[in-house]
Amino acid sequence: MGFTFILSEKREAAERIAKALDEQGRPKSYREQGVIYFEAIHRDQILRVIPAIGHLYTIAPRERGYNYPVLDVEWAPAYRFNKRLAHTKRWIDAIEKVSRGASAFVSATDYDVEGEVIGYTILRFACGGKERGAKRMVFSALTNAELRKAFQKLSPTIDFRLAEAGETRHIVDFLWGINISRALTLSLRDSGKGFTKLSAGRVQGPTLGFVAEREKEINSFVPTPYWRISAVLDVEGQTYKVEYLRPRIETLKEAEQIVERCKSKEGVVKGITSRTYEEEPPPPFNLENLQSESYRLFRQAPSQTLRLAESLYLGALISYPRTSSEKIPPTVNCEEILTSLGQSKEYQNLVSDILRDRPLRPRQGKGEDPAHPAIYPTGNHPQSTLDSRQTRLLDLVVRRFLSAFAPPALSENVRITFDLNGELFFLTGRRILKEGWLRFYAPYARREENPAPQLREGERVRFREINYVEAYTSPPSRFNPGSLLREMEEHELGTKATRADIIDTLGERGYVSGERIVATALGLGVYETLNRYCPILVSVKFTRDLERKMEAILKGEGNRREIVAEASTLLTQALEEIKENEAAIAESLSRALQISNSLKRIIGPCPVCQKGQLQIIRSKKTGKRFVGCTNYREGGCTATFPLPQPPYRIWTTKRTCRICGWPTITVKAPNRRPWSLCLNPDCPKKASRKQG
Amino acid sequence: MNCPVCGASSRNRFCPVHERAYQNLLAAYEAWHRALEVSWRDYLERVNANSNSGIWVRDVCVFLLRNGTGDR
Repeated sequence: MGFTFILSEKREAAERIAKALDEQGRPKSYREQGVIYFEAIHRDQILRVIPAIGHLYTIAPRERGYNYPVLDVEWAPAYRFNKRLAHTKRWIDAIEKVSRGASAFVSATDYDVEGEVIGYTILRFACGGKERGAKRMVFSALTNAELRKAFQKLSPTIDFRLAEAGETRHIVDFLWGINISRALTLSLRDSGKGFTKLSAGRVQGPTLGFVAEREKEINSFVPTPYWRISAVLDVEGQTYKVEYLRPRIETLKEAEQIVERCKSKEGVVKGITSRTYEEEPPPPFNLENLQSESYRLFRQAPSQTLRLAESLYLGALISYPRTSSEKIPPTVNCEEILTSLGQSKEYQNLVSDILRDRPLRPRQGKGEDPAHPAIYPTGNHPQSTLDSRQTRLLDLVVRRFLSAFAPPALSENVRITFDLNGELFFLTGRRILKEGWLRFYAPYARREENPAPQLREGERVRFREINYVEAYTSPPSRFNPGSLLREMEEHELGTKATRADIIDTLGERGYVSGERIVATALGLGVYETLNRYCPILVSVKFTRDLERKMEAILKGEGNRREIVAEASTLLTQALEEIKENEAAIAESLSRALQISNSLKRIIGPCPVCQKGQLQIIRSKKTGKRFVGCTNYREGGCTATFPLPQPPYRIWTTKRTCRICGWPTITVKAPNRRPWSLCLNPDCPKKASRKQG
Repeated sequence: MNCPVCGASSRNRFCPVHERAYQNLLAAYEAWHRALEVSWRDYLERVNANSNSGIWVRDVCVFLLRNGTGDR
């Protein structure tokens, strides 16, 4: 008798599927090449469930050699091209062996573009061309009920449109990534500027563009002065901040005149308006909203949030997180989930309030996803201890889900206008009349309340103080991971699954840095070079149009061959442009690299001359490294400090010593933890250490 | 021609980034003059000391002040 071979995407998912489908709920586990797989008995059928470990196959050039253009590509095992994926060979071997003799094949990978490509390539290459006859298990949560239902209602085939869309994306991204990276790297090498690997990608380029353009705006920003009239009102011993009707006064003279006219500080209430408004609860999370909210509340990077959400999904605690949907469809058994959540003390009261009002109608958002609903809690209780970050993210998802069933919040906004010798001031107050969903989403909801004073029209009031305050216009704020993710989404760059990784990649390549994202000298240099000599590589429009075309494959409009051909044509043109301007590109990139490398050597401001910067220098005479001041030539600053020599590794931190305020560096000895070294030879910390 | 601020090659007086900063400086002077009746030199000193000023703008301010071209 044959068996049914089920391919899942991850180990935890494989185990959950096997447990849910096994009659006893206790599948047997085996190992092949060290890869665990499970055998379950389901209605006298043997099921073998084996996990993959992400992508086992990758797009690769047919021909070897570090040159370009590379346009002829194929699927190949990932371990052949990436040393870090060497372990995936065992997975391929194990899948080949475990699937041998199977009478039926089922793909149970995550139901999205990447999951479908993983399933498609493994069934095609590791299982010997079984992608055509294989069935598809479609589910959005790893709960027993959902998995059993999915197995009962198997789709007759895998989703070939999804697989084709994914394959197209892999090919196009690979072609652009490898060719542009090689073209930039080789332009440097061939122009005699050395060999430094530079990289660029189809989505990376325009994303770097957002950060670089913002950086340029900030760096060339000139603030202009203006004045605010600041006033404080005194009502029955309580003080209230009051604003002048015009938020900005453009000249000092006028600001002085306004304050002069108000010097009596006696005013009258000119008018009171109040308005009540209902605020609907927010819809349940999709991935973008979850990432943004998690960044707002916990300062958690989007990629980190995605990883945590995936761990909660694999623990069957929430539904599939890589979704664009903000809708909970009727197929989700909300009553069961709520009842289960209500067993927990912290949600008990909230759930009983929701269940009192029938029928259950969750607030639906605009976001849609054909494959998955919005992120919702499954109602399952954690079977193992969650860490603090998982716990708070789960709580956030639960409270957002609960608030989707809650009534709107009702607030009252009051605006009181004052007349002071013809000058108009106002204050606004906000009072929450009915908490509604705010109670369900506490402590995450923003609930700003500032009640206005009880005043009547015509009433005389006395201001405590009226002044003018000098202020300056500010440059636009820098992106943070959350806002950059939103910018990418707004411009339709990348997919919900890849955006967070693209932001991380820009950081890893040294193009951007910091939580308030700054474009580095290298990032600005690469962007400027591409924008000048090959603008299509940083074009938002080109990338967005290509994204739309790839999305259209899902609707049956367009196909892989056409899109890859079109992308290849444009790529070839771009490569020709790079080739034509090779020398100029190399010059521009080399300059950016030089600046970037010299900035990496800067340790901090020189505490001796207070003018230059301390930097790491290598002695031409001895080859040894030491710290010197950049103000040596111009200002004659002779400050020098010794540095630990190899095998000690050192790197700059831009941090200062807590005791003496001098710059510090990080030092690492072989097999030892890194430590912070203060450059001040007379640092009190060192003296106290010497004394024991 | 090289940018006198950073040494990068340039077609104008400054390289593109410092030229943009210089143009912004020129454009904002009118608002400053109207607001505070400051001289060009005083303006450059104030912008250079302002924490909201961009780094390229400050580079240009320092250059103009140091090289005696602080007067427009």
